[in-house]
Amino acid sequence: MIELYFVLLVLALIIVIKLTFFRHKIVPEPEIVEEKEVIVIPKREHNIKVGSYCKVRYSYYLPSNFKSYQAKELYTNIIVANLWIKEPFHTVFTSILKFLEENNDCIKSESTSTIKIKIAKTNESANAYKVYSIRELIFTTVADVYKQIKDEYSAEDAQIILLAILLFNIDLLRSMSSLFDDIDSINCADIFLDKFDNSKKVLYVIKQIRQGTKQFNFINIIFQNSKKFATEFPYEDSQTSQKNLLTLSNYVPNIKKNLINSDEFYVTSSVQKVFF
Amino acid sequence: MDDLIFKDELNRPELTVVPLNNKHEISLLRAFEIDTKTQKKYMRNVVFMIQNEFITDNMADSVLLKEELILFEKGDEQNTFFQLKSRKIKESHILSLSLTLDSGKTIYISKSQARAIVSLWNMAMMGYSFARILEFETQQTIQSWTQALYENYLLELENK
Repeated sequence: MIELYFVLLVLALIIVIKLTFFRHKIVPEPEIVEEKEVIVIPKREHNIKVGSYCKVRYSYYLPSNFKSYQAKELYTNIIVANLWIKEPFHTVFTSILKFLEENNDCIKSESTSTIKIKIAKTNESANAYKVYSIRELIFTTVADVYKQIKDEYSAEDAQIILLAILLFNIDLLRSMSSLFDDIDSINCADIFLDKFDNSKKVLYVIKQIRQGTKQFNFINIIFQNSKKFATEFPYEDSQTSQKNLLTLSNYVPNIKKNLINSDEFYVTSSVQKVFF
Repeated sequence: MDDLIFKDELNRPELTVVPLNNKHEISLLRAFEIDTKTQKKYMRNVVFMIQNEFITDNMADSVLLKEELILFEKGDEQNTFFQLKSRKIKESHILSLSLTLDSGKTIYISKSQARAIVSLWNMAMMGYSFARILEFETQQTIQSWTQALYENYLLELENK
């Protein structure tokens, strides 16, 4: 019997010790969840600006080739903005711009009085009056007409009309008389259009402008209006002020193309396209 | 005046026109030098103009033309500018000075018109010293004249 009591006592002791010391094991511990590191992958921006990552270069004429501000502006706003670098229009257009820059001439102003000056000692005499520069008049008409044309006509037709405007008053240059017996706007224009495919269409448009037909008469009006705001220069028609005559090498300007990114031109018009 | 035009912006010649006869559009063109430092105005040239055409281009010729107007019928064929001519108007012979312009037009000046022109010349010269114009009258070129006319707005259509 004593052995039984002893066993019971030991069991009771074990139970008491378990209850007191190992109580906390009974309570189920909360499961520890390991936090996994969530790697947030940043989304790539798809609207990348053109020219920031990959600079595309096109074969343009260098902007430093143009002396006057107006010619540079016409080149950027018409050819660079529309990417009209398709040949032969590109070279024909720039060669005429360059020709007009180098061989500028003047016509008598509409708001001027002529005064005849005589120098008794040298026996000279000349008329003094104010003049417009022809280059300025033609360039302003091209810029003004381009604003009207660009939405109405297709690219090919607009190119033909712009070439016609550059050439329809080129017979005003007095130096052209050295090349022809009979100065005619179509004869003069024909020299510049040797390499152009649609030269017949350009000559047709020049005829239409000269005749003042309904479709193209607005170009004549814009040309007359450009005189209102054109700058006037003093001029005397003496022998010393006469310019050198035109030579054949003058109307083929010797300039070369270079690969340039179009960002280097500062296009001011808002019609610049994205080429991607 | 040649030197003055290109010398300094502040020292530009100033051209003024005095109308002497409205019928024949005879006028006197005076070129002044304005010294801005001393605030004085000097006459540098006097020129006769008839209908937008220079008749004289220096002071000596202008004085000669004025003297021919004063002499009128006493002048003879030695005159350089005017020639004495007798015309018949309403069955009466009239003496007048004639001058042919480069444009082909001839103008006839009567005795009273000549006197009026001379008296207006005297009025236009009043108050200015002749020391500068006699000492420093320089030879001018066509280019310097056009530049001076342009800067003084005499090539405008209104100042016909």
